[in-house]
Amino acid sequence: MKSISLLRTPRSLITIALVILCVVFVGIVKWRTLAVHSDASEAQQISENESKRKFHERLGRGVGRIHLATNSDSLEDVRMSVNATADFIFERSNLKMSAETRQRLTEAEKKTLKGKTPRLSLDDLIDTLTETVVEQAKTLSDQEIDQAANTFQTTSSGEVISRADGRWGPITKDEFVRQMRSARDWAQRGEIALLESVRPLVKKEVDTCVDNLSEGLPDHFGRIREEGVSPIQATLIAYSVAADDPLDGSSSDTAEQIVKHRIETRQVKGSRRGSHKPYGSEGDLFSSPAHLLLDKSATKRLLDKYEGGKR
Amino acid sequence: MRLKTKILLILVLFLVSFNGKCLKKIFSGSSSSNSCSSTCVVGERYSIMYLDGCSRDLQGQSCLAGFLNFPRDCNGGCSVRIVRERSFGFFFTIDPSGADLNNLPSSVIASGQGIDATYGPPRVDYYNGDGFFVGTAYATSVANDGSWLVASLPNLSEAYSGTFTLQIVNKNADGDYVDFLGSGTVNCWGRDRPDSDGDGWYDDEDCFSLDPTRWYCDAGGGGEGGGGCVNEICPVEGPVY
Repeated sequence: MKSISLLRTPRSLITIALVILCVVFVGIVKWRTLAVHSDASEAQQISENESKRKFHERLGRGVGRIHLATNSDSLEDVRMSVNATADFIFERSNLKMSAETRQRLTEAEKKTLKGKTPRLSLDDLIDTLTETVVEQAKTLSDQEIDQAANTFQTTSSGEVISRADGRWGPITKDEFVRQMRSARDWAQRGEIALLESVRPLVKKEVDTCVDNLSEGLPDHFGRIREEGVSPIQATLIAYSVAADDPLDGSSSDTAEQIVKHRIETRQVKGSRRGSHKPYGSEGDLFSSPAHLLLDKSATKRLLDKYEGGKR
Repeated sequence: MRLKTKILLILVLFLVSFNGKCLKKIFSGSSSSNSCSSTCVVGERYSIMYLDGCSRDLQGQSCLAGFLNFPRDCNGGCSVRIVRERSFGFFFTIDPSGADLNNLPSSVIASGQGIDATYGPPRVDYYNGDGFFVGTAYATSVANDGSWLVASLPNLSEAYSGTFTLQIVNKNADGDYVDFLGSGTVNCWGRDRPDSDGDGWYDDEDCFSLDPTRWYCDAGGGGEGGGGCVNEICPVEGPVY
Protein backbone atom coordinates (compact mmCIF):
# COMPACT_ATOMS: atom_id res chain seq x y z
CA MET A 1 0.00 0.00 0.00
CA LYS A 2 2.88 2.30 0.84
CA SER A 3 4.47 1.73 -2.55
CA ILE A 4 1.21 2.41 -4.37
CA SER A 5 0.77 5.68 -2.49
CA LEU A 6 4.36 6.65 -3.36
CA LEU A 7 3.59 6.15 -7.02
CA ARG A 8 0.84 8.71 -6.72
CA THR A 9 3.20 11.57 -5.80
CA PRO A 10 3.78 14.07 -8.65
CA ARG A 11 7.59 13.53 -8.49
CA SER A 12 7.22 9.77 -8.97
CA LEU A 13 4.78 10.25 -11.84
CA ILE A 14 7.28 12.50 -13.65
CA THR A 15 10.00 9.87 -13.14
CA ILE A 16 7.76 7.10 -14.48
CA ALA A 17 6.81 9.26 -17.46
CA LEU A 18 10.45 9.91 -18.24
CA VAL A 19 11.35 6.22 -17.94
CA ILE A 20 8.48 5.32 -20.32
CA LEU A 21 9.68 8.05 -22.70
CA CYS A 22 13.15 6.60 -22.55
CA VAL A 23 11.92 3.06 -23.28
CA VAL A 24 9.78 4.29 -26.19
CA PHE A 25 12.74 6.25 -27.52
CA VAL A 26 15.03 3.20 -27.38
CA GLY A 27 12.34 1.19 -29.16
CA ILE A 28 12.02 3.78 -31.92
CA VAL A 29 15.79 4.01 -32.32
CA LYS A 30 16.10 0.22 -32.55
CA TRP A 31 13.26 0.00 -35.03
CA ARG A 32 14.73 2.81 -37.12
CA THR A 33 18.16 1.22 -36.98
CA LEU A 34 16.76 -2.12 -38.15
CA ALA A 35 14.82 -0.40 -40.93
CA VAL A 36 17.87 1.58 -41.98
CA HIS A 37 20.02 -1.56 -41.89
CA SER A 38 17.48 -3.42 -44.00
CA ASP A 39 17.41 -0.58 -46.55
CA ALA A 40 21.17 -0.32 -46.42
CA SER A 41 21.72 -4.03 -47.00
CA GLU A 42 19.25 -3.97 -49.89
CA ALA A 43 21.04 -0.96 -51.38
CA GLN A 44 24.36 -2.68 -50.78
CA GLN A 45 23.12 -5.80 -52.57
CA ILE A 46 21.98 -3.73 -55.56
CA SER A 47 25.29 -1.93 -55.60
CA GLU A 48 27.22 -5.23 -55.37
CA ASN A 49 25.20 -6.71 -58.23
CA GLU A 50 25.81 -3.60 -60.30
CA SER A 51 29.55 -3.73 -59.56
CA LYS A 52 29.63 -7.38 -60.53
CA ARG A 53 27.78 -6.68 -63.78
CA LYS A 54 30.22 -3.91 -64.65
CA PHE A 55 33.16 -6.14 -63.74
CA HIS A 56 31.85 -8.87 -66.04
CA GLU A 57 31.52 -6.31 -68.84
CA ARG A 58 35.11 -5.25 -68.24
CA LEU A 59 36.20 -8.90 -68.32
CA GLY A 60 34.59 -9.13 -71.73
CA ARG A 61 36.59 -6.14 -72.92
CA GLY A 62 39.72 -7.60 -71.31
CA VAL A 63 40.54 -11.29 -71.44
CA GLY A 64 37.25 -11.88 -73.28
CA ARG A 65 38.80 -10.31 -76.39
CA ILE A 66 41.19 -13.25 -76.74
CA HIS A 67 39.79 -15.75 -79.15
CA LEU A 68 40.39 -19.11 -77.51
CA ALA A 69 40.83 -21.75 -80.17
CA THR A 70 38.42 -24.68 -80.31
CA ASN A 71 39.01 -28.32 -81.31
CA SER A 72 37.95 -27.59 -84.89
CA ASP A 73 40.49 -24.78 -85.31
CA SER A 74 43.67 -25.17 -87.34
CA LEU A 75 47.18 -25.02 -85.92
CA GLU A 76 47.43 -21.50 -87.31
CA ASP A 77 44.30 -20.48 -85.38
CA VAL A 78 45.80 -21.95 -82.23
CA ARG A 79 49.02 -20.03 -82.88
CA MET A 80 46.99 -16.81 -83.24
CA SER A 81 45.28 -17.61 -79.98
CA VAL A 82 48.67 -18.05 -78.27
CA ASN A 83 49.97 -14.81 -79.79
CA ALA A 84 46.86 -12.94 -78.63
CA THR A 85 47.41 -14.32 -75.12
CA ALA A 86 51.08 -13.29 -75.18
CA ASP A 87 50.19 -9.79 -76.42
CA PHE A 88 47.48 -9.46 -73.81
CA ILE A 89 49.88 -10.36 -70.97
CA PHE A 90 52.60 -8.10 -72.37
CA GLU A 91 50.27 -5.11 -72.77
CA ARG A 92 49.23 -5.42 -69.15
CA SER A 93 52.47 -6.36 -67.42
CA ASN A 94 55.52 -5.94 -69.67
CA LEU A 95 56.11 -9.71 -69.37
CA LYS A 96 57.27 -11.06 -72.72
CA MET A 97 56.48 -14.58 -73.85
CA SER A 98 59.53 -16.10 -75.52
CA ALA A 99 59.37 -17.68 -78.97
CA GLU A 100 60.15 -21.04 -77.36
CA THR A 101 57.24 -20.75 -74.91
CA ARG A 102 54.90 -19.65 -77.71
CA GLN A 103 55.85 -22.71 -79.73
CA ARG A 104 55.41 -25.14 -76.82
CA LEU A 105 52.16 -23.52 -75.76
CA THR A 106 50.81 -23.77 -79.31
CA GLU A 107 51.69 -27.45 -79.50
CA ALA A 108 50.31 -28.21 -76.05
CA GLU A 109 47.07 -26.32 -76.75
CA LYS A 110 46.56 -28.09 -80.06
CA LYS A 111 47.14 -31.52 -78.49
CA THR A 112 44.75 -30.74 -75.64
CA LEU A 113 42.06 -29.45 -77.97
CA LYS A 114 42.39 -32.59 -80.08
CA GLY A 115 42.06 -34.71 -76.93
CA LYS A 116 45.55 -36.20 -77.27
CA THR A 117 46.53 -34.85 -73.85
CA PRO A 118 44.04 -34.24 -71.05
CA ARG A 119 43.13 -30.85 -69.63
CA LEU A 120 44.63 -30.04 -66.27
CA SER A 121 42.17 -30.23 -63.39
CA LEU A 122 42.02 -27.19 -61.12
CA ASP A 123 43.52 -29.26 -58.31
CA ASP A 124 46.45 -30.16 -60.56
CA LEU A 125 46.82 -26.52 -61.57
CA ILE A 126 46.84 -25.46 -57.91
CA ASP A 127 49.44 -28.14 -57.12
CA THR A 128 51.62 -27.02 -60.02
CA LEU A 129 51.42 -23.35 -59.06
CA THR A 130 52.15 -24.25 -55.44
CA GLU A 131 55.21 -26.28 -56.49
CA THR A 132 56.28 -23.33 -58.65
CA VAL A 133 56.09 -20.92 -55.72
CA VAL A 134 58.13 -23.28 -53.53
CA GLU A 135 60.68 -24.08 -56.27
CA GLN A 136 61.10 -20.39 -57.09
CA ALA A 137 61.53 -19.61 -53.39
CA LYS A 138 64.30 -22.21 -53.23
CA THR A 139 66.45 -20.43 -55.79
CA LEU A 140 65.90 -16.82 -54.72
CA SER A 141 69.07 -14.90 -53.94
CA ASP A 142 69.19 -12.24 -51.20
CA GLN A 143 69.33 -9.67 -53.97
CA GLU A 144 66.18 -11.05 -55.61
CA ILE A 145 64.35 -11.02 -52.29
CA ASP A 146 65.34 -7.39 -51.75
CA GLN A 147 64.28 -6.64 -55.30
CA ALA A 148 60.91 -8.32 -54.70
CA ALA A 149 60.41 -6.24 -51.54
CA ASN A 150 61.14 -3.10 -53.54
CA THR A 151 58.94 -4.11 -56.45
CA PHE A 152 55.73 -4.85 -54.61
CA GLN A 153 53.29 -1.99 -54.27
CA THR A 154 53.77 -0.12 -51.03
CA THR A 155 51.60 2.01 -48.81
CA SER A 156 52.43 5.69 -48.45
CA SER A 157 54.58 4.69 -45.49
CA GLY A 158 56.52 2.08 -47.44
CA GLU A 159 54.91 -1.15 -46.21
CA VAL A 160 54.67 -3.94 -48.76
CA ILE A 161 51.21 -4.81 -50.09
CA SER A 162 51.42 -8.24 -51.65
CA ARG A 163 47.87 -8.25 -53.02
CA ALA A 164 46.19 -5.32 -54.75
CA ASP A 165 43.28 -4.97 -52.32
CA GLY A 166 45.57 -5.43 -49.33
CA ARG A 167 43.75 -8.61 -48.28
CA TRP A 168 46.95 -10.10 -46.89
CA GLY A 169 47.59 -6.88 -45.02
CA PRO A 170 50.57 -4.58 -45.35
CA ILE A 171 53.87 -5.67 -43.80
CA THR A 172 57.13 -3.81 -43.43
CA LYS A 173 59.85 -4.45 -46.00
CA ASP A 174 62.12 -5.84 -43.27
CA GLU A 175 59.45 -8.30 -42.20
CA PHE A 176 58.78 -9.26 -45.82
CA VAL A 177 62.50 -9.92 -46.42
CA ARG A 178 62.72 -11.92 -43.18
CA GLN A 179 59.72 -14.07 -44.11
CA MET A 180 60.97 -14.66 -47.65
CA ARG A 181 64.39 -15.71 -46.39
CA SER A 182 62.78 -18.12 -43.94
CA ALA A 183 60.60 -19.49 -46.74
CA ARG A 184 63.70 -19.97 -48.90
CA ASP A 185 65.47 -21.83 -46.07
CA TRP A 186 62.41 -24.05 -45.54
CA ALA A 187 62.16 -24.71 -49.27
CA GLN A 188 65.83 -25.63 -49.49
CA ARG A 189 65.42 -28.05 -46.58
CA GLY A 190 62.42 -29.56 -48.36
CA GLU A 191 60.06 -28.73 -45.49
CA ILE A 192 56.63 -30.06 -46.31
CA ALA A 193 55.15 -27.42 -43.98
CA LEU A 194 55.99 -24.70 -46.51
CA LEU A 195 54.11 -26.52 -49.24
CA GLU A 196 51.18 -27.01 -46.89
CA SER A 197 51.07 -23.36 -45.90
CA VAL A 198 51.44 -22.05 -49.47
CA ARG A 199 48.82 -24.31 -51.07
CA PRO A 200 45.72 -22.80 -49.36
CA LEU A 201 46.87 -19.32 -50.37
CA VAL A 202 47.37 -20.37 -53.99
CA LYS A 203 44.06 -22.26 -53.94
CA LYS A 204 42.18 -19.19 -52.74
CA GLU A 205 43.71 -17.02 -55.44
CA VAL A 206 43.01 -19.58 -58.18
CA ASP A 207 39.45 -20.12 -56.93
CA THR A 208 38.73 -16.39 -56.98
CA CYS A 209 40.14 -16.06 -60.47
CA VAL A 210 38.24 -19.11 -61.74
CA ASP A 211 34.96 -17.95 -60.14
CA ASN A 212 35.30 -14.54 -61.77
CA LEU A 213 36.18 -15.95 -65.17
CA SER A 214 33.53 -18.66 -65.22
CA GLU A 215 30.81 -16.25 -64.07
CA GLY A 216 31.88 -13.35 -66.27
CA LEU A 217 32.84 -15.27 -69.39
CA PRO A 218 30.85 -18.51 -69.38
CA ASP A 219 31.54 -19.13 -73.09
CA HIS A 220 35.29 -19.02 -72.55
CA PHE A 221 35.69 -20.37 -69.03
CA GLY A 222 32.26 -21.65 -67.97
CA ARG A 223 33.16 -25.35 -67.72
CA ILE A 224 36.68 -25.27 -66.38
CA ARG A 225 35.63 -26.51 -62.95
CA GLU A 226 34.19 -29.64 -64.49
CA GLU A 227 36.44 -30.12 -67.51
CA GLY A 228 39.73 -28.60 -66.40
CA VAL A 229 41.86 -25.99 -68.12
CA SER A 230 43.66 -25.92 -71.43
CA PRO A 231 47.32 -24.75 -71.52
CA ILE A 232 46.32 -21.24 -72.62
CA GLN A 233 43.69 -20.99 -69.89
CA ALA A 234 46.23 -22.27 -67.35
CA THR A 235 48.76 -19.64 -68.50
CA LEU A 236 46.21 -16.87 -68.16
CA ILE A 237 45.19 -18.02 -64.68
CA ALA A 238 48.83 -18.40 -63.61
CA TYR A 239 49.60 -14.90 -64.86
CA SER A 240 46.50 -13.49 -63.15
CA VAL A 241 47.51 -15.03 -59.83
CA ALA A 242 51.17 -14.00 -60.17
CA ALA A 243 50.44 -10.37 -61.07
CA ASP A 244 47.13 -10.08 -59.17
CA ASP A 245 45.65 -8.85 -62.42
CA PRO A 246 41.88 -9.49 -62.64
CA LEU A 247 42.25 -9.60 -66.45
CA ASP A 248 39.50 -7.02 -66.88
CA GLY A 249 39.24 -3.96 -69.08
CA SER A 250 40.52 -2.88 -72.45
CA SER A 251 43.72 -0.84 -72.70
CA SER A 252 41.65 2.36 -72.69
CA ASP A 253 39.76 1.10 -69.58
CA THR A 254 43.02 0.48 -67.71
CA ALA A 255 44.47 3.83 -68.92
CA GLU A 256 41.34 5.50 -67.52
CA GLN A 257 41.72 3.58 -64.26
CA ILE A 258 45.35 4.68 -63.95
CA VAL A 259 44.41 8.34 -64.47
CA LYS A 260 41.58 8.01 -61.93
CA HIS A 261 43.89 6.38 -59.39
CA ARG A 262 46.50 9.12 -59.82
CA ILE A 263 43.88 11.81 -59.36
CA GLU A 264 42.43 10.14 -56.24
CA THR A 265 45.84 9.95 -54.64
CA ARG A 266 47.00 13.32 -56.00
CA GLN A 267 50.14 11.82 -57.53
CA VAL A 268 52.86 14.11 -58.76
CA LYS A 269 54.83 13.08 -61.85
CA GLY A 270 58.06 11.31 -60.93
CA SER A 271 56.85 10.48 -57.42
CA ARG A 272 57.04 6.78 -58.26
CA ARG A 273 58.44 4.64 -61.03
CA GLY A 274 56.17 3.38 -63.74
CA SER A 275 56.48 0.71 -66.39
CA HIS A 276 53.77 2.31 -68.52
CA LYS A 277 51.78 -0.86 -67.92
CA PRO A 278 49.01 -1.41 -65.38
CA TYR A 279 50.43 -4.58 -63.76
CA GLY A 280 53.71 -6.40 -63.22
CA SER A 281 56.89 -4.83 -61.98
CA GLU A 282 56.35 -1.07 -61.53
CA GLY A 283 52.77 -1.49 -62.69
CA ASP A 284 50.72 1.68 -62.51
CA LEU A 285 47.67 -0.03 -61.02
CA PHE A 286 49.42 -2.69 -58.97
CA SER A 287 53.12 -3.41 -58.88
CA SER A 288 54.38 -6.91 -58.13
CA PRO A 289 57.40 -9.07 -58.97
CA ALA A 290 55.22 -11.26 -61.20
CA HIS A 291 58.32 -12.17 -63.23
CA LEU A 292 59.63 -14.17 -60.26
CA LEU A 293 56.61 -16.46 -60.43
CA LEU A 294 55.99 -16.45 -64.14
CA ASP A 295 59.37 -17.07 -65.71
CA LYS A 296 60.70 -19.63 -68.18
CA SER A 297 61.10 -22.38 -65.60
CA ALA A 298 57.55 -21.81 -64.27
CA THR A 299 55.98 -22.01 -67.73
CA LYS A 300 58.11 -25.06 -68.50
CA ARG A 301 56.86 -26.76 -65.32
CA LEU A 302 53.28 -25.90 -66.24
CA LEU A 303 53.57 -27.17 -69.81
CA ASP A 304 55.42 -30.30 -68.66
CA LYS A 305 52.32 -31.15 -66.63
CA TYR A 306 50.36 -31.50 -69.86
CA GLU A 307 52.88 -34.09 -70.97
CA GLY A 308 52.73 -36.06 -67.77
CA GLY A 309 55.52 -34.20 -66.06
CA LYS A 310 58.15 -35.31 -68.56
CA ARG A 311 60.56 -33.34 -70.79
CA MET B 1 20.24 18.80 -8.90
CA ARG B 2 16.62 17.75 -9.10
CA LEU B 3 15.82 14.22 -10.19
CA LYS B 4 13.87 15.45 -13.23
CA THR B 5 16.83 17.53 -14.39
CA LYS B 6 19.18 14.59 -13.89
CA ILE B 7 17.00 12.28 -15.97
CA LEU B 8 16.62 14.91 -18.69
CA LEU B 9 20.39 15.32 -18.75
CA ILE B 10 20.86 11.56 -19.15
CA LEU B 11 18.23 11.56 -21.89
CA VAL B 12 20.03 14.34 -23.79
CA LEU B 13 23.38 12.55 -23.48
CA PHE B 14 21.66 9.37 -24.64
CA LEU B 15 20.32 11.17 -27.74
CA VAL B 16 23.69 12.70 -28.54
CA SER B 17 25.50 9.39 -28.23
CA PHE B 18 23.03 7.66 -30.54
CA ASN B 19 23.13 10.25 -33.31
CA GLY B 20 26.75 11.31 -33.16
CA LYS B 21 28.89 10.03 -35.99
CA CYS B 22 32.61 10.16 -35.66
CA LEU B 23 34.11 11.33 -38.95
CA LYS B 24 37.27 12.87 -37.72
CA LYS B 25 39.99 11.23 -35.72
CA ILE B 26 43.02 12.72 -34.11
CA PHE B 27 45.86 10.27 -33.92
CA SER B 28 48.85 10.98 -31.82
CA GLY B 29 51.48 8.74 -30.39
CA SER B 30 53.99 6.25 -31.56
CA SER B 31 53.58 3.07 -33.49
CA SER B 32 55.63 -0.07 -33.11
CA SER B 33 57.00 -0.06 -36.67
CA ASN B 34 58.86 2.55 -38.66
CA SER B 35 55.56 4.05 -39.68
CA CYS B 36 52.30 5.01 -38.07
CA SER B 37 49.10 3.04 -38.20
CA SER B 38 45.48 3.61 -37.34
CA THR B 39 42.29 1.62 -37.66
CA CYS B 40 39.89 2.59 -40.44
CA VAL B 41 36.83 1.46 -42.37
CA VAL B 42 37.63 -0.81 -45.33
CA GLY B 43 36.48 0.70 -48.62
CA GLU B 44 36.75 4.27 -47.38
CA ARG B 45 39.42 6.78 -48.34
CA TYR B 46 41.14 9.13 -45.95
CA SER B 47 43.14 12.32 -45.93
CA ILE B 48 46.02 12.46 -43.49
CA MET B 49 46.87 15.94 -42.26
CA TYR B 50 50.21 16.27 -40.51
CA LEU B 51 50.30 18.59 -37.54
CA ASP B 52 54.07 19.23 -37.60
CA GLY B 53 53.85 21.87 -40.32
CA CYS B 54 56.60 20.10 -42.23
CA SER B 55 55.36 16.81 -43.69
CA ARG B 56 53.30 16.67 -46.87
CA ASP B 57 49.64 15.84 -46.30
CA LEU B 58 48.30 12.72 -47.97
CA GLN B 59 45.07 12.34 -49.87
CA GLY B 60 43.01 9.40 -51.07
CA GLN B 61 44.62 6.86 -48.76
CA SER B 62 42.84 3.51 -48.96
CA CYS B 63 41.97 1.53 -45.88
CA LEU B 64 43.65 -1.85 -46.27
CA ALA B 65 42.52 -4.77 -44.13
CA GLY B 66 41.14 -2.29 -41.59
CA PHE B 67 44.37 -0.37 -41.17
CA LEU B 68 45.69 2.88 -42.47
CA ASN B 69 49.47 3.07 -42.55
CA PHE B 70 51.25 6.33 -43.15
CA PRO B 71 54.78 7.71 -42.80
CA ARG B 72 56.00 9.30 -39.61
CA ASP B 73 56.22 13.08 -39.59
CA CYS B 74 59.42 15.15 -39.86
CA ASN B 75 59.99 14.70 -36.12
CA GLY B 76 59.59 10.94 -36.27
CA GLY B 77 56.20 11.16 -34.60
CA CYS B 78 52.66 10.28 -35.60
CA SER B 79 50.87 13.55 -34.89
CA VAL B 80 48.23 13.73 -37.56
CA ARG B 81 44.56 14.31 -38.09
CA ILE B 82 42.88 11.56 -40.07
CA VAL B 83 39.74 12.61 -41.86
CA ARG B 84 37.44 10.41 -43.88
CA GLU B 85 36.96 11.76 -47.38
CA ARG B 86 33.57 12.17 -48.98
CA SER B 87 33.14 11.73 -52.70
CA PHE B 88 30.00 12.99 -54.43
CA GLY B 89 30.80 12.21 -58.07
CA PHE B 90 29.05 15.30 -59.50
CA PHE B 91 29.72 16.21 -63.11
CA PHE B 92 31.03 19.72 -63.79
CA THR B 93 31.24 21.63 -67.05
CA ILE B 94 34.16 23.98 -67.41
CA ASP B 95 34.02 27.24 -69.33
CA PRO B 96 36.05 27.63 -71.46
CA SER B 97 36.05 23.97 -72.45
CA GLY B 98 39.34 24.41 -74.27
CA ALA B 99 42.37 26.66 -73.96
CA ASP B 100 45.67 27.44 -75.65
CA LEU B 101 48.49 26.79 -73.16
CA ASN B 102 50.36 29.75 -74.65
CA ASN B 103 47.42 32.08 -74.14
CA LEU B 104 45.49 30.93 -71.10
CA PRO B 105 42.37 32.66 -69.78
CA SER B 106 42.74 34.41 -66.43
CA SER B 107 40.00 32.29 -64.88
CA VAL B 108 37.60 29.42 -65.50
CA ILE B 109 33.98 28.85 -64.50
CA ALA B 110 33.05 25.42 -63.18
CA SER B 111 29.30 24.71 -63.28
CA GLY B 112 27.66 21.84 -61.44
CA GLN B 113 26.16 21.45 -57.99
CA GLY B 114 26.97 21.37 -54.31
CA ILE B 115 29.56 24.15 -54.35
CA ASP B 116 29.70 25.62 -50.87
CA ALA B 117 31.85 28.49 -49.64
CA THR B 118 30.43 28.53 -46.09
CA TYR B 119 33.69 27.46 -44.46
CA GLY B 120 36.10 28.89 -47.01
CA PRO B 121 36.64 29.13 -50.74
CA PRO B 122 36.30 25.80 -52.55
CA ARG B 123 39.52 24.42 -54.00
CA VAL B 124 40.11 23.48 -57.62
CA ASP B 125 42.83 20.87 -58.23
CA TYR B 126 44.28 20.64 -61.72
CA TYR B 127 45.49 17.31 -63.17
CA ASN B 128 47.13 16.82 -66.56
CA GLY B 129 46.09 14.32 -69.22
CA ASP B 130 48.06 11.54 -67.51
CA GLY B 131 46.30 12.21 -64.22
CA PHE B 132 49.27 13.83 -62.51
CA PHE B 133 48.64 16.75 -60.17
CA VAL B 134 49.85 20.03 -61.67
CA GLY B 135 48.51 22.71 -59.33
CA THR B 136 45.74 24.16 -57.23
CA ALA B 137 43.64 27.32 -57.34
CA TYR B 138 40.87 28.60 -55.08
CA ALA B 139 37.45 29.91 -56.03
CA THR B 140 37.31 33.69 -56.24
CA SER B 141 33.52 33.75 -56.39
CA VAL B 142 30.75 31.21 -55.81
CA ALA B 143 27.06 31.24 -56.78
CA ASN B 144 24.64 31.48 -53.86
CA ASP B 145 22.82 28.38 -55.05
CA GLY B 146 26.09 26.42 -55.27
CA SER B 147 25.78 25.88 -59.02
CA TRP B 148 29.01 27.53 -60.17
CA LEU B 149 32.32 28.97 -59.12
CA VAL B 150 35.00 31.10 -60.70
CA ALA B 151 38.61 30.09 -60.09
CA SER B 152 41.97 31.28 -61.27
CA LEU B 153 44.51 28.97 -62.87
CA PRO B 154 47.69 27.58 -61.35
CA ASN B 155 51.06 27.93 -63.07
CA LEU B 156 50.78 25.80 -66.22
CA SER B 157 53.94 27.08 -67.89
CA GLU B 158 55.46 23.59 -67.93
CA ALA B 159 52.30 21.69 -68.76
CA TYR B 160 51.82 19.88 -72.05
CA SER B 161 48.77 19.62 -74.30
CA GLY B 162 46.08 17.18 -73.24
CA THR B 163 42.77 16.85 -71.45
CA PHE B 164 43.08 18.38 -68.01
CA THR B 165 40.82 17.34 -65.15
CA LEU B 166 39.63 19.97 -62.70
CA GLN B 167 38.51 18.51 -59.38
CA ILE B 168 36.29 20.66 -57.17
CA VAL B 169 36.70 20.27 -53.39
CA ASN B 170 34.66 21.93 -50.64
CA LYS B 171 36.11 22.95 -47.29
CA ASN B 172 34.21 21.45 -44.35
CA ALA B 173 33.35 22.91 -40.95
CA ASP B 174 36.67 21.69 -39.52
CA GLY B 175 38.61 23.52 -42.20
CA ASP B 176 39.57 20.38 -44.15
CA TYR B 177 39.29 20.01 -47.91
CA VAL B 178 37.84 16.51 -47.88
CA ASP B 179 34.49 16.92 -49.65
CA PHE B 180 35.33 15.91 -53.22
CA LEU B 181 32.37 17.17 -55.23
CA GLY B 182 33.36 15.94 -58.67
CA SER B 183 35.26 17.02 -61.72
CA GLY B 184 35.15 18.46 -65.21
CA THR B 185 37.63 18.60 -68.07
CA VAL B 186 39.36 21.20 -70.21
CA ASN B 187 41.10 20.40 -73.46
CA CYS B 188 44.45 22.24 -73.57
CA TRP B 189 46.56 22.59 -76.69
CA GLY B 190 49.53 24.55 -78.06
CA ARG B 191 52.42 22.82 -76.31
CA ASP B 192 52.83 19.20 -77.36
CA ARG B 193 54.99 16.87 -75.32
CA PRO B 194 58.12 16.41 -77.42
CA ASP B 195 58.95 13.08 -79.04
CA SER B 196 62.04 14.10 -81.03
CA ASP B 197 62.64 10.75 -82.75
CA GLY B 198 58.94 10.04 -83.31
CA ASP B 199 59.12 6.52 -81.88
CA GLY B 200 56.04 6.93 -79.70
CA TRP B 201 58.04 7.42 -76.50
CA TYR B 202 58.13 11.00 -75.24
CA ASP B 203 61.57 12.52 -74.68
CA ASP B 204 61.14 12.58 -70.90
CA GLU B 205 60.53 8.83 -70.84
CA ASP B 206 62.85 7.80 -73.67
CA CYS B 207 66.39 6.68 -72.87
CA PHE B 208 67.30 7.17 -76.53
CA SER B 209 65.27 10.23 -77.42
CA LEU B 210 67.07 10.71 -80.74
CA ASP B 211 67.09 7.06 -81.79
CA PRO B 212 63.74 5.77 -83.06
CA THR B 213 64.86 2.13 -82.79
CA ARG B 214 65.52 2.16 -79.07
CA TRP B 215 63.82 3.60 -76.02
CA TYR B 216 64.45 1.16 -73.15
CA CYS B 217 67.33 2.19 -70.89
CA ASP B 218 68.68 -1.36 -70.87
CA ALA B 219 68.52 -1.68 -74.65
CA GLY B 220 72.35 -1.66 -74.76
CA GLY B 221 74.58 -0.90 -77.71
CA GLY B 222 76.04 2.27 -76.28
CA GLY B 223 74.82 5.42 -77.97
CA GLU B 224 73.08 8.28 -76.38
CA GLY B 225 71.82 6.44 -73.24
CA GLY B 226 69.89 8.36 -70.66
CA GLY B 227 68.14 10.47 -73.28
CA GLY B 228 65.84 13.05 -71.83
CA CYS B 229 64.20 10.79 -69.30
CA VAL B 230 64.36 11.24 -65.59
CA ASN B 231 66.10 8.17 -64.18
CA GLU B 232 63.34 7.09 -61.79
CA ILE B 233 60.80 6.87 -64.58
CA CYS B 234 62.96 5.45 -67.36
CA PRO B 235 61.36 2.42 -68.98
CA VAL B 236 63.13 -0.92 -68.98
CA GLU B 237 62.56 -3.93 -71.17
CA GLY B 238 60.22 -6.49 -69.66
CA PRO B 239 61.30 -9.89 -68.35
CA VAL B 240 60.86 -12.92 -70.61
CA TYR B 241 59.01 -16.09 -69.67
